[in-house]
Amino acid sequence: MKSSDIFMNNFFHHIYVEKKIYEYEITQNIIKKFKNSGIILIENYKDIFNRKNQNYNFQKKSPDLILAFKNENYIYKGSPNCQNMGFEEYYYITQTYNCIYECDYCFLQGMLDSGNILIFVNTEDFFNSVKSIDNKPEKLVSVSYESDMLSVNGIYPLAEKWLDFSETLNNIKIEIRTKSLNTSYLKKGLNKNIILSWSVLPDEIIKKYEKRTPELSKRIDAVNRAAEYEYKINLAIEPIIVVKNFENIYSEFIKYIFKNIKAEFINSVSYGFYRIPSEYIKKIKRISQSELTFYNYILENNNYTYGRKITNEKSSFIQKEIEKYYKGDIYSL
Amino acid sequence: MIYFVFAMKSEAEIFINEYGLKRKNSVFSEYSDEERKVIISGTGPLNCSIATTYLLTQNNRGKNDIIFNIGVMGADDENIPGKIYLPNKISNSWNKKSYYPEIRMKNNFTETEITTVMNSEDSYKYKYSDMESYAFFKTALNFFDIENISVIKVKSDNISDHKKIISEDIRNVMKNSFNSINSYTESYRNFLMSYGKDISDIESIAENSPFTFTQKQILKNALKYYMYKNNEIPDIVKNINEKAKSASERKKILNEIIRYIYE
Repeated sequence: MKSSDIFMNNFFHHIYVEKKIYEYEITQNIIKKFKNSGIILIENYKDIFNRKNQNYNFQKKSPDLILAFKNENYIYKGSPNCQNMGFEEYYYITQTYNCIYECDYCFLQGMLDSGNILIFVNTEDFFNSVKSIDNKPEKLVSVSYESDMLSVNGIYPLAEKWLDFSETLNNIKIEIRTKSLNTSYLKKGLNKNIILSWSVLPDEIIKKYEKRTPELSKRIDAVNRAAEYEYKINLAIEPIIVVKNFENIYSEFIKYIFKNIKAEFINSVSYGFYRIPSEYIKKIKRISQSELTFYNYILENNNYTYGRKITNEKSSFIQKEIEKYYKGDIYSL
Repeated sequence: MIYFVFAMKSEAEIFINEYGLKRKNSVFSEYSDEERKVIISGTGPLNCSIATTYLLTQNNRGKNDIIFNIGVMGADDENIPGKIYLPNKISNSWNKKSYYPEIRMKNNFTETEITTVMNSEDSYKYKYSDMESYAFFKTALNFFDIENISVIKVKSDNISDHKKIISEDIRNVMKNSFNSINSYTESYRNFLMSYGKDISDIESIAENSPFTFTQKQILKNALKYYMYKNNEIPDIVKNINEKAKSASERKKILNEIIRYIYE
């Protein structure tokens, strides 16, 4: 822990609430949970979230909470940089932005102005947007793409709401991505349209680059708990970071995963190497204190990456290691 | 550097005296030493904005520099004069726009919303009011990141008393609150400095190197990579000025450094 951390206010020391949603039941329920927080009424969440001259990473140390109403743009088509798990059409929704974790590689630090956690409380509008595309061909909708919905589920139980809602869908699978250990929201029988994607990486990488996140063994315990309820589970080995002793670290890691999770519980495995859109790198370099940001990357297709040579070589190694233990669908990016 | 903007001399006096600041020859009333600079703006948003701009354009600002607007405010609450507040929302009375200062460091002050008014007669309309903080915040944002800007207000009087405040009253409340405010401003500076590694050596090595502008950027990036990874600057960049005499030597040396750092 850095000395600055000791002097930081607790998480959610301030809760910024849009005036128009202050009386909403959901808003009041959230406020009640944080009795020691100062409530500050605002006109529009953008006055806080989108203002310039903020330091994303500094705010992540003790984020405030912003509760708001989203008026439009509930659903977006996924970019080619997203892992789509073989679905022809991939979408994502952004009901929450940011999470409680502090990952050095997070692209949000280059995309967003604020490290505070933003939750839009008009859940029904997000549901309706998903309903509107519930037709052929089958689609994947990620609801935790620019956040980790489960990590903020303690603030408001959004995951439960999405689980219940997923039962009404016909041609859509809802993907919930997470590093969280929180499985208390899972219910047997509410699993037909849900894919739980657990991000997993070697502990060496977690300790160094994924601050505040659970260690690997605990994530695997969480995966096994979800598997008991027969959820479809995707293991997302992302972002793969090239480090010294790469082959040794990643082969041990993959062996460990499949030793501790039964392969039949896993619906698919996806993996992808660290990459950052070129439009974000300048901003990230201004605020980052991680060596990961300043590596000598190569610009390819508007992304900074390890370059085709390294990626191809390491990629075939990862693929072979996974195939040693797993015969199901493997997706790479 | 800590910058202070006060509206009145009576608010600033205790700070100037306690810090032993020296008067500077300036169009404004300015006092400074090696670590602190004080400017007295005069009352009202326009004066505050002009003085803040003047203060910040006359000096080279560092990444860890901070700026405070400190002064008295009228308050219509049950607390006694001398109570210290940290505004977390600063609005203005003319178009109702607001700024939201970042308060991320633990403190013993009371947070509040405040409204900046154009003239003192309007202060009776608001629970907490002053005549500078909105203009100060708006102006300082042109020069600093939001976490480097802070406003501290001390209750001077009960607005509802409609009593005329004299300089002596202001001197007294500021004198009584000096220790608490000083402790906060010093801690805040240390707090910001302890967040993050000091990379000024890297900036200096790169700027003083014999490389072209682009080569300097490449060197800076590589040195940051090494510093964040190993917590030190590599020996390979020592004496680069002596080694690199020609353009081809510079290119060769930079390539060697890059290879060494990223290997």
